[in-house]
Amino acid sequence: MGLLANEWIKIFKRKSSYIMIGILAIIVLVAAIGMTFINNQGTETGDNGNWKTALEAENKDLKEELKSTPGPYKKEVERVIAENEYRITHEMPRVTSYNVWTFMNGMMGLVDIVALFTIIIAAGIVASEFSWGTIKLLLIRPINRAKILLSKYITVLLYALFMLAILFVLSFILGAAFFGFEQNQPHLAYLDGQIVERAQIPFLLSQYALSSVGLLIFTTMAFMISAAFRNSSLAIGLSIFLLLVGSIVTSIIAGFFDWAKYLLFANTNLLPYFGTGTPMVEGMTLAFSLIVLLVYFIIFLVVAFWAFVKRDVAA
Amino acid sequence: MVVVSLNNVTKKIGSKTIIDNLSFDVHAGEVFGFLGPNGAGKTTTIRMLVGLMKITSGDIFIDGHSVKANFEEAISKVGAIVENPEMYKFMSGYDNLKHYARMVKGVTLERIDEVAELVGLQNRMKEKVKTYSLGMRQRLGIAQALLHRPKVLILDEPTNGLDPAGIREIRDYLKRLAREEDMAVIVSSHLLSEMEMMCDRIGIIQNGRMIDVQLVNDMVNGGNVSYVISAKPIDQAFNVLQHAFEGINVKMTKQHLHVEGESVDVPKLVKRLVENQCDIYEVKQVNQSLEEKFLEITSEKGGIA
Repeated sequence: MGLLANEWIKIFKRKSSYIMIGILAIIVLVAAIGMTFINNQGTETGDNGNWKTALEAENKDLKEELKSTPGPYKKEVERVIAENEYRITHEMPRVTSYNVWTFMNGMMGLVDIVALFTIIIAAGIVASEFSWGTIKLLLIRPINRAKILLSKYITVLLYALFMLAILFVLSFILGAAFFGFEQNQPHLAYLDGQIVERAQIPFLLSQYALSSVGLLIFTTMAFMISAAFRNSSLAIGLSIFLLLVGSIVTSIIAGFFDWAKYLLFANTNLLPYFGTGTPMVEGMTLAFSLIVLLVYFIIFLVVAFWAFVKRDVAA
Repeated sequence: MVVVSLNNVTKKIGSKTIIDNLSFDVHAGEVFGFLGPNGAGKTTTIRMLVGLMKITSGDIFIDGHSVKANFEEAISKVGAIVENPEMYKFMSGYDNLKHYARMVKGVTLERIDEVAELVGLQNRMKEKVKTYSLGMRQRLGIAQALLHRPKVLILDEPTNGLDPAGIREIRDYLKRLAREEDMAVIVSSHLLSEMEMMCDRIGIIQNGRMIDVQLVNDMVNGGNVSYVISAKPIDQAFNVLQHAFEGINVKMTKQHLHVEGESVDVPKLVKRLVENQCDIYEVKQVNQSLEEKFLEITSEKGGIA
């Protein structure tokens, strides 16, 4: 426990941690203000009488389109058609007004920002001790190295959780304050060709959790680089580079080769398995992705612990 | 009582042998100096002592516990600074000490205050380490090392970068700790003059080998002692001394005679000169400094680095 307290204190005794929280809060606030502005301009679409015929017309077009769409995009089109039909039969017009749920859904993109900040923390938490020289005083305590590294890893995860909680709560509060609280609007999920209704808060929580899978993996990767190379700028740079470039490169490879599905970046986005978007390579399943992720995760941790525990401290 | 014991410790990095079969003991209540030119292996040895580096072969025992097999027990008896006293600069001195206190059992807040006072930092503890001078950091480093009442205190180049007053202060601390707390203190340095004043015993290391361990008093007084005599007329004095005694070596410079030998009987020597009508202006004992001794030892046993 003392070790966790130490690591937590070392993070929050530095200004950069507060700057990160500040940036996150400002982005959410700016987004809320910006959306209010856009929202006020486009409120004339109040013509509710014809929504059924409009959706029927849209479905007709989409069904035509379906014949000519290539494989990967087919599923998305099918999803829209199914959703529209569900709305028609269940008397649920598409919600055009912007509310707390749509805002929170939009703010889910900021999980990437949280991932970025967490990567910075993870990349620094081991490597900084080396660059400060304090590692020499840290490792000469009656505590084995694995425990020290574990305490650092847990601290990184706690930090990520803390930032995600800030994002979730803040976007809920600001969303409700700016756009109002809409209760009767379940989320429509598309699973195995069926539309299923879901309550919003558990749905959003699960979405945030799913988006955080990538965060967890990339953070662990940054942590490994930090422990193995003992250089924080290298760890930050490499992790962010991979974060930005990895999924693009993987999707390009996925266009040509089937083995792309074994790459880390093809599996970090689990949302397609829960009704949003489509997987990168056809035929991938949730179980497959989870196994691939688990393998990478274990490799990262083994390398991190091995490098930290076994290697001499010569710096 | 032997507190630290190195048994045939060897460190190899790749195929290169950095430390070669090093063995020595350090006793409670003494300040042991670890002396050697830069690159001789002092810091490597200290890193192995505190577990920062693995020992290739041989073992180190601290208070009976093997560093290899029982690291946590062994290291709990050790307080150390390896190279510079690097602290978390963005935290206060007090927070730094608390940080290390959380990592061992049984260090109370009172103990932190006690240690802070011992090193004379009690008034600056709330300030960030950023604002500390090098001397203060060095003292905070010692405070950190003393927190858990170790039996062994290891300081790597403790006077590096300190001003003369700071050096003197550290020297006095270390002597006091060894005498009063019966601690075994190990310091390393490449500066002889300092070691001479600080240590009870000095081990000289070169190219990863311990080439000599001596008591400081022996090093200073043992062996040859030389005298400088200024007398007139100098030629006559020279002739008298050259034939007067067995086993002494006399050299003449412009104004002085240099007399060297295992046992020079000064009163007899003076009497003989006076009997031979020489006027004596000065007879002075010259201690061979440790520096010369050090150079002598290192060059005798395997060439100076």
